[in-house]
Amino acid sequence: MLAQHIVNGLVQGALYALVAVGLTLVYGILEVINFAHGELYMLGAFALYLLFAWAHLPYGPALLLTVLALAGVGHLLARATMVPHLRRPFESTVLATLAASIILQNGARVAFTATPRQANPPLEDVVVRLGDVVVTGQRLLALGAALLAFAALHLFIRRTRAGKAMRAAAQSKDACAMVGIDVGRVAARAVALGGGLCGLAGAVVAPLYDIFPGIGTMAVFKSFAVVIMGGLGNVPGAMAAAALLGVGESLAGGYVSTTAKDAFGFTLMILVLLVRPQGLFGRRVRV
Amino acid sequence: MSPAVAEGAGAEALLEVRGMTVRFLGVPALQGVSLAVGRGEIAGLIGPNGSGKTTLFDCVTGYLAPDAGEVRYRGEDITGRPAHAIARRGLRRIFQQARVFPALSALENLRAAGQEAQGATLATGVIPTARSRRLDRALDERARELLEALGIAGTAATPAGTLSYGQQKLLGIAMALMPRPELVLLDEPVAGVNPTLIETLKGFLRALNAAGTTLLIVEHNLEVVMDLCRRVFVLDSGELIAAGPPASVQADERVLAAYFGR
Amino acid sequence: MIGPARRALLPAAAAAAAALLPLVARSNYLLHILVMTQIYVVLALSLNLILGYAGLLSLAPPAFFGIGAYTSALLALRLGWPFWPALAAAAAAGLLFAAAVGVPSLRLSRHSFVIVTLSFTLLAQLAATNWTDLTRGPMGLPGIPPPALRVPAIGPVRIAGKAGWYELMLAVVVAALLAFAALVRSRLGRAILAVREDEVLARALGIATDRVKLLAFALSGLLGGVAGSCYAHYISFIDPSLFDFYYMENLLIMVVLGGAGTLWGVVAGAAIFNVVPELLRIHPELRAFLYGIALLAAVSVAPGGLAGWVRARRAARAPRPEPA
Repeated sequence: MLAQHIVNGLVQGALYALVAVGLTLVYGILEVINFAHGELYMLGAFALYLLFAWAHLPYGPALLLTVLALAGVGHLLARATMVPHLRRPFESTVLATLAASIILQNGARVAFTATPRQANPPLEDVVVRLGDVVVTGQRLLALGAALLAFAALHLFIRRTRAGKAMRAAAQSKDACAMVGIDVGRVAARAVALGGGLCGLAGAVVAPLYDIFPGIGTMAVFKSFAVVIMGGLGNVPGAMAAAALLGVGESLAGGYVSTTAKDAFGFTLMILVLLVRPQGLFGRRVRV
Repeated sequence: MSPAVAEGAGAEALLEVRGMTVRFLGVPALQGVSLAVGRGEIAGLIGPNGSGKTTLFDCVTGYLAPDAGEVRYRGEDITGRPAHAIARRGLRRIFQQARVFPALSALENLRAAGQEAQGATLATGVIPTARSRRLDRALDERARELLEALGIAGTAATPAGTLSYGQQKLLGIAMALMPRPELVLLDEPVAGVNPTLIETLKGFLRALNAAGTTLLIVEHNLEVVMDLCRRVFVLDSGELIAAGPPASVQADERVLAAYFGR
Repeated sequence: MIGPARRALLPAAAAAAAALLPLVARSNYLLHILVMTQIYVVLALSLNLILGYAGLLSLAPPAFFGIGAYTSALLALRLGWPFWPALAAAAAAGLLFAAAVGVPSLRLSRHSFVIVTLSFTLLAQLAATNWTDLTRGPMGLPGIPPPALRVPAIGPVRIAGKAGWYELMLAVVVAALLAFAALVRSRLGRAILAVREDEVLARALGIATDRVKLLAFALSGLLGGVAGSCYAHYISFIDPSLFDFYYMENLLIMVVLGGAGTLWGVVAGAAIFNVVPELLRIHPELRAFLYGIALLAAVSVAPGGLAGWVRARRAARAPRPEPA
């Protein structure tokens, strides 16, 4: 039983990480919290639904297109709500992204209605047994996709010019201005990256649960908890915190109650903040 | 602290800094700096960019806790105390960049600057009493007095954010002086100020000092420092390399090396 | 300069006119909208205090609203408390919870503060939903009794009709506005504004900024509690959906578009965004969509909201002072 809970928790943690990494990356560069981040995840799920269940594209290409589409949406989101507020107090950007969240969520409600949708991809019925532990194929795919994405992200940040520009922007916006790095463009790329990751998360998770316009809200709230616990701007920290949250929730749900599971994340976050305001792994920006 | 530094302060050292050390991520910003400012004097703090002058101010005024060393004000240890507590003890700081409360009028800025020192509770003014009215009147009188003295009386009702940079600098000075502080730390008071205003400011600071306020001035404008200050401290790379009357400091080899040649 | 007596004339006239409104407007529907507006004005003042005057974005107002509502409702239903003591208790609950949350969270960064206040609201909702012994969970608390006021020479009067509630809430709103205005003009108010404008400078001037922020947050909690209590006794049924983030979004729109940091702007914002939905009979989702666009536009182009826009136009016409 314990092993099952832990494995479930790790899979869930990987999904939290997929969503949270983009959020913390953007925070590291712009020092703003993107309230519309959850909607990127929701739109990812809907994009997959439209491409796979409605337009009947094969799952693989549908997933890929979703990731690309959401990267584009992320880029647009940054241009509309974050770049114009670069020099303004952070409350301004929070309100702008919150407005974007309202627009996207209600736009989706108008377009798709609140009726939950389902997508049934090929791996759904595949079941893998590892000893006593049972994992469905789709969940394994989700875990695998997440790990691949993180590896790719790591390579991107460390090896490419765009990635290095992101690290530079995360360390000092002013220094970037001096060497000719356009912080606005870097930020838009980071949000696009986050959008792509959210798109991936939405696409691999969509088949596991119902898809409806409100799924972004709880996703982003949980991501906030992960980002805070991992340390604002700290990408590896976010991954670790996501795993911790996933496993913790799974154990709380399995051994205590559903309420404990729902409350776990936010309670843990508040406890962490009381003891270590900079997060478990430090706030120092690390990408 | 070296005898020269302590002696120069005279019997009554108002402010004493001993062995102040600050490290940022392992890089030393201040290394064992000691100095003393005597009551009633105008002292200067100079040094090339990055020598640690603002860091020292931050430690003295409670914006930064040093890794080692102590600060004493009127003999009392104030190391690491919060900024607002230090400000209430009679030690005021004027920032390098003109800082005001932009949305408030100049008069409101001054009221905000002076109200804490009056010692009234925060509830004062919500329910007007004879005492609160008296305190408000005293606050306004002092505010107008300072506006007059600094030549910006006409700006009383203007939102501080719309004033010119020079006016804001003057308002910032007025704000620091509202509670008649004993010691004022000025961070580059004439930076960004036009030359005619510099002479006026110098005169103002001299008059302020003559009336009993002790001043410690950080400045890059060496002419102003040499003209106003009785004693000058020189920092370089976080270390105190010279202390004494302006003339001797000007001729000091280490000081010349720090500024001009290395 | 307009003298203080003359400056009070316009608001006093407005209040008097407002008090006479039920004589003219008989429609229960209209009165209901007005009462809801009045409740929202008090809640908007709560957000206005912490966001508009202290400059701190807080997502906790729905939490204080809900806590006030549940406190008042439970005291009335379980212990038979009359309205005014229950209201006072709700105000106290809002104040105390805000202080409890504020002490550890105000010293964090602003970003963390936003998220902690959000988490507090979420946890409060979880508590209301799951602590079924106390709150009856999703079934909510029905049958909350309306106030009974003791009128001298007449005896107890039950506030049952919409017109009665309108007058009662008008009194509450006027009291809240007067208290708010007094606070803003006081030394504490000046300190709060100083903290908003430049916290570093405020500390250099001896202002204990942590304490000021805590007081502002606690008072905003108090206002939220008052609004919650009024709502509970008016609608006479409450459930955990009070804590929904949806209400926070509405509140932000009222305050930001009305003019955060002003009084009449926020009142106007609350009025407009309670009345407009009724006039604009469109799908709630479409309406929310349009609100979102309005909020984005306001934040990008007119951050001071309606009141800020009016103020800017007035300033543009006024003569500028001579620079030194």
